[in-house]
Amino acid sequence: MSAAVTYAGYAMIAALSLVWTAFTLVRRPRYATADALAARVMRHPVARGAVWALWAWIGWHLFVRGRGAFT
Amino acid sequence: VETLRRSRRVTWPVVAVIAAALAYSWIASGLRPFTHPEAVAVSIPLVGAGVALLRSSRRRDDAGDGLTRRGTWVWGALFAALLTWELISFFSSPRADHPTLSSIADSVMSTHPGRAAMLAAWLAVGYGLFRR
Repeated sequence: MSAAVTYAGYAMIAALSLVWTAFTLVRRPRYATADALAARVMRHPVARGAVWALWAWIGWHLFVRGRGAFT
Repeated sequence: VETLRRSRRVTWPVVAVIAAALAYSWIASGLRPFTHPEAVAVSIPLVGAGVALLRSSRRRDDAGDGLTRRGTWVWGALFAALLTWELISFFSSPRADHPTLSSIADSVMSTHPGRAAMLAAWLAVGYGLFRR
């Protein structure tokens, strides 16, 4: 499997996500949008804290530790 | 149904906030990693989001749900597909032929504009999550 196939896989998932995002936005509120899904998750105190911790960890590792943080 | 759809009008304050966030991203992403200025630049939004989180938790507990679950499984399937593809890439080698999201992020962040875009995206995700 070459890099092109790997990139194509990511691109396909991204494209499907965009299509589904557009579909749910057009059909809201019948279908759960990403925003509605996030709202549901963020209703729970433990999930809120976990999401904040994950977001903080990603930001810290990407920008304070810099390039190559995950390698 | 229609009343649930909020009209979103772009106002000057909104434009000013977006411009400020982009400028902040550009400046903060120009700072060197592993330095105190960069740590402070990243900590400011972290603290702001933490404060917003604590403030929202007080009024969230008695709020109703009212959100549909229809289509939630599609979001789950998309997330599972991404996770599966990432794991396949992660456990394959060489990395050049099997790039992971991390290695893609690293290559994007090799330039100042790419780093600024990633920081702006990170801020936007944080705003989307913690504004409620």
